Formats: sequence, structure tokens, C-alpha cells
Amino acid sequence: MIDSPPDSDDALALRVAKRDKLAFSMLYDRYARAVYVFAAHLLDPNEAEEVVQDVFLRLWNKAGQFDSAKGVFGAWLMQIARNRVMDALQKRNKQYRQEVLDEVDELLAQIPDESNIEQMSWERQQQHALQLALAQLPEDQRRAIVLAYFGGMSHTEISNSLALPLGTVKKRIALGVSKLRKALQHINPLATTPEKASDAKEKE
Amino acid sequence: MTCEHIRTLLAETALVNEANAANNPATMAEVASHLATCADCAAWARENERLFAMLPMVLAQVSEVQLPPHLKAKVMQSLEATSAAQPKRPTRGWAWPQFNANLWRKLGAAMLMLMLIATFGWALQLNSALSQERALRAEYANLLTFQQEMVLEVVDSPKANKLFLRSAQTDSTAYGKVFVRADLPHVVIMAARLPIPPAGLVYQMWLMRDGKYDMVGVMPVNPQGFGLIVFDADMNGPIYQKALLVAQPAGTNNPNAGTFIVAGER
Repeated sequence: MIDSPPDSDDALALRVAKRDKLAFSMLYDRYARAVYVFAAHLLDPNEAEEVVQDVFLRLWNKAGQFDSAKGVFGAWLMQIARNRVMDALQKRNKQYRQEVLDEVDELLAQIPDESNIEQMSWERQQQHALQLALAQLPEDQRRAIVLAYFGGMSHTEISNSLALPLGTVKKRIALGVSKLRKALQHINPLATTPEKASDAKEKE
Repeated sequence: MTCEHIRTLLAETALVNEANAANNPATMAEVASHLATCADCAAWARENERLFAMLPMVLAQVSEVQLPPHLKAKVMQSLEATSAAQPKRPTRGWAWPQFNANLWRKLGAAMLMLMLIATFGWALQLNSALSQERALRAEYANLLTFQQEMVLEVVDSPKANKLFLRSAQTDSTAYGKVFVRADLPHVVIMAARLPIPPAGLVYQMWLMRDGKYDMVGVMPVNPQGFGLIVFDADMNGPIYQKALLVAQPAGTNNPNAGTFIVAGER
């Protein structure tokens, strides 16, 4: 078994579970902006502050529940953040949700700057690759992913919202996700499991 | 279900939040069952989760929204509040506390809590004492003796000095008070819930002044257990350090030779 580096997310989460405020502070510095931006774009700045407080207070109180064998820390924390944001977003009206999701979709459609990629950390390179892949996704696939992930909408809701058959929505999401996976695989092929033949056959 | 089918389901459902996923528990249970036994698909699912967790990170990369600098201090403060509200973990052994602001803040909070508890306790005691005093006055009002005017002058005066008498017996709720007034020689002693004295005994009232006990009178007890003694001291506003009501044979000249019924000490 390989021990995590002392400043890895997993190691810091373990220390937070033992009430280590320095470790908590380091995790805050890594993830707070992403949580805040996520909430601020979908809700408002004041509520985004509340979300950050709630999410990190939950981290402080529940860090012991994180199990690195079941997944990465960032996914665990972002799932907490997403649940909190979705709860608040569901209370807003449909028009509001449409508008904020349009804005997120537009932002994610931007092609990232290609300079200085070599100087980026591995994590940053992965984010860059994902950003590029999102921007290059066909608009309908990206839109379906944005509605599902950032809007917390069910496939049926997306189907109604886009006036598309349910099967088409599912297919768009599956295709979009598959492409995003491949983009990450390109950056770190060892990190992903071999794709099945079915993935290779996927066509846009 | 085949791995291919599971991965199609995962791809379709992975972006659906938990509340929506719960709408199809049978499918989710089937997926969970497969993931528990298929390491490849489990790794595939974890990779999906990692990818989705990166979506907010990507949004943060393209967004111009900045994290408010003051927010970290607020979050850290909320941790302090949470930590203070939770019980401390037991420590092995004891060490000199290091000087740090957090420790002193916690000590300050603890002191404040103790003061509040003490104040609350004191208020309860005061409330109890006041209600008992009202009960004593009510009892006295029923007696309508010739001493009434003298008693009221002392008991009802804001200048009254009181010595509280508590039951000396564990199975008794008897209580009383010694009232004096700084500008008068009158001394009023009231007691209530007294048991009837055993045959052959009386209740003798002993007061200590300047370290010396004096027997100031025998307290008669009415059928309701109320007793009253009124007398004039040799000075205005005498200060008594101790007071004892003792069940003993009449004429006993030793306060310790008997059973203490109520007692008080300044």
C-alpha cells in the first residue's frame, strides 16, 4: 500500500477528521473558490457565502466519513457542494434557472488559452483538458450536461426543457460524458480504465 | 446486466442528482450491486465521479468571480463555534497550556458560562427565599397578635437585615428567618413548617452575637407549624452570626444539648 503524500487531499482530510485546523485551511484554499463560484453563478453572492460556510462546516464535522477507497476527496466535497446548491436552486423559479444555466453554458463554451500548458500542474492540466473538451463538445451535448450537472435536472425535465425525446437526451449526455472521459484519458491514460469497444464506436 | 449496460446506465444517470436518482431505486440498486462485484466498472464509476467533480473547477477557471477574502475568517470562526459546542475529547495526562489566543478565548467563554450559571443559581435561590418570606408574612398576618405592628415595622422595612434559617433535618422542610433593623432594637424570628415538638421538649431559640450564644426565647408552634418570637435586644440593629432553633427540655442552657430544627449562619 502506498501512503498518500502529506499534503494530498486524502492526507489532509484525514487530519481534518482529527480536528487539524491547518489541514482544514489548506483544503479551504484548494476548494473554496470552486465552491463559491459554483454557488455564485447559480444563486447569488450572499447565498454563495452561506453555501461555502455550510459546505466547509460539513467538511469539518464529517471529514471522518470520507473514505478514499470509495473515491477522490474532490468528488466527495463537490458532491456535498452540489447537493447544497441544488437544494437552493430548486427554490428558484424556472425562468431564473434557465437564465443562470444559459450563462454557465456560455462560459463553458469558451476555448481556453493554450499558452503555458507545460508549466501547469497535473491537476491544472486536467482541468484545462476538460475545459477544452467542454468547449469543443457539440452545443446540444454540452447543454444537456450543463442542465443535468449544474441545473440538477432529471432527464425528463431536460427532455421537456429542450423539447427533445427522452432517449435523445440520455444519448446526448452519455456521448458527452464519454468524450470528456477521453479528454482526461489523453492527459493521464493510467488513471482511467480501458474503454469498452462500445465507447470506441460512439459517433456524434 | 452486462458491464456495457451498466456503464451506459452510469453515463446516463451519473449527472442526475441524488434526489432524481432516488426516483428509480430498482435500477440504482442493480447498478450498486454490480459495482460491488465488478472492480472495472467500480473504477469506471469513480473516474466519472472525478470528472464531474472537476466541472465546478473548470467553471472556476473560466469565471471572473472571485472568492471574498473575508470569507475564510468567517468560516474559521464558525469552526471555533462548532468546536466550543462539542464535548472535548479526553486527553492522556495533563500539560501546561500553551499561551494562545484561542485558549484564552475558550477560558473566557467558560468563565462567562460559570458566571451565568452562578447568577442563575443565585436568582433561583433569591426567588425561593422571597417566596418563602412571603409565605412567612402570610402566616403571620393570620395571627393578628398585639405584636403585629412591631413585626411589620421590622419585616417590611427595606432596612431589614435577614439571617436565613434552613432545616437541620434531612427529612424536614422547615425554614425561617431572623429579622433585625439597624435603627430599631426589635428582633423578629419566624419559622414555618415546624414539626410539633416531641413530648417534654420545647423549641428554644439561640442567637450568637460576638461569639456567644444567648437563648432568646421559646418558640411556640401553632397547629400549622408556624412559630414566632419577637423581642427587643439591648441595642439597635444587633448582628447575629448564628441562629439555632433547638428541640430540648425547657431551661436547658446549652444550645448543643438537643436536636437542631433549623439553623442559620452569616
